[in-house]
Amino acid sequence: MLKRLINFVLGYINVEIEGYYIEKFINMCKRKEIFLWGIRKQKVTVLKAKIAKIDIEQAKSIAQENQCIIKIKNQKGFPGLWKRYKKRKIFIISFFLLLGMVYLSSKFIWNIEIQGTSKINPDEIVKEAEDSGLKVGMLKCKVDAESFINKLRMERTDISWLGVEIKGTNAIIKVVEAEEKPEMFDENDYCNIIANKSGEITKIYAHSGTPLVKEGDVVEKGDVLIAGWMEGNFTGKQYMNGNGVVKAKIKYTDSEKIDKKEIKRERTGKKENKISIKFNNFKINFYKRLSKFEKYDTIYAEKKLQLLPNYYLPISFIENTNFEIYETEKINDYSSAKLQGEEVIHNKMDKLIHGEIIDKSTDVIEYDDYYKITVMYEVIEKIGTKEKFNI
Amino acid sequence: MSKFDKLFEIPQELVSEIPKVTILGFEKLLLENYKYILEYQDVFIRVKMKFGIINIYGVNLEMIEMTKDDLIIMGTVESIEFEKL
Repeated sequence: MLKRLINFVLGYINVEIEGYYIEKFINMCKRKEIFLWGIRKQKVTVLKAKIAKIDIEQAKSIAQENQCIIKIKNQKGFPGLWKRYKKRKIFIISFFLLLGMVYLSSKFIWNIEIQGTSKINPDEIVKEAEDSGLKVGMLKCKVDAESFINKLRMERTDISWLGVEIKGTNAIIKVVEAEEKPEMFDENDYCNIIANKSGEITKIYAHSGTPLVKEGDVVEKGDVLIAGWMEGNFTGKQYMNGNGVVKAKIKYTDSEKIDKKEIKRERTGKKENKISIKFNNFKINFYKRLSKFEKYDTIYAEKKLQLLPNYYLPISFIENTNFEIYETEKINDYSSAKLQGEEVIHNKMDKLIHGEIIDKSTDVIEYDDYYKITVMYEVIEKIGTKEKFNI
Repeated sequence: MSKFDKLFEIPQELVSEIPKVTILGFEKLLLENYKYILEYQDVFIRVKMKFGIINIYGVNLEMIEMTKDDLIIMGTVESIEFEKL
């Protein structure tokens, strides 16, 4: 392989050797360290071989001694190529220009990739990076990753580690998200049970500690429900790990506006594709007409051109897909607005409520062009959480 | 073989001029430590080695690689003959 490469760079010649003493010629060449390869007998007196370009003159003189004739068939390798393309100046100039452009473009960053995010939106980090100087289209040597990392680490608490790696023209920002771990309580710690929501107490059991509220009391968020101490007649005040179950009736209310006239947009199923090319910030559209649809939604999909796995070019293809839509006007009357509003609120509340719903009431107020729907839930929920205290 | 070579267990074919013939799949032949070519036809090759002559019979014999000590022959090899001098 290496030998082939060297032969290609230095150039070699396909020759035809004719004569009666060809074996003698080959042996003479071998003795003088001129090496032939690809030797093939064509006729009884004619031989085809390959010879390095630098050895041809010496081989010619050896052939003369042995009464052989060397005919040069064709030249191969880089010198031959060079000779052929030397006259085509524009071709050579544009070839080197292309090489130079590829080299120059490799000095810039053309893509930012975020790895390791699950909760954090990658766009946020891209935006932060752009603000602190790491953006698409900047010189690789001017990237100040250190200050960006420090800045982001200071600002955000949900990132536990951050690294910037530049591979080719791709800047990879690796993020390790910090996990919010719940506060652990030791059995020996002193703690109170406090209310995390306001409501009316329906049940309270204290396993350990002293209950400070009764059933039927209305508590605010943050009130102590079970205190982490006990007072005996003889033992005095003894601190402990407060524990117990507190249930309360909590009211949740939410309201939603439903318009009387509602415009619904639906896709008809027809779509069209349009392609445009983007050079960094300069966009060229490959279509001249506007969309044939009257009303449509457009979805952009951008794909960056890659030369090698980590070698992005500042050229990207954008595929615009237009989906035709039709709009219908829907008039909501009282009952349908109520149903719709209840559904919206129910979906919202589902995430908040963890207990048992015991009552639900809906209130609808009609305005000029909308209905206001207010829904109130009454829920029985556990409201106690532990809070440490020091004596 | 000298005492030095024996001490360091250098392979025999590296230090001496003993010919070595390797056949790969009846179509590739490697001759090491050859001296010179006596005759070359596309059906018959006669190569001089240090201790004798090797005759190779075959079809479409081609010498694809030639260096100072090694010779690689490609083609359909039918038989090989040794002539000890």
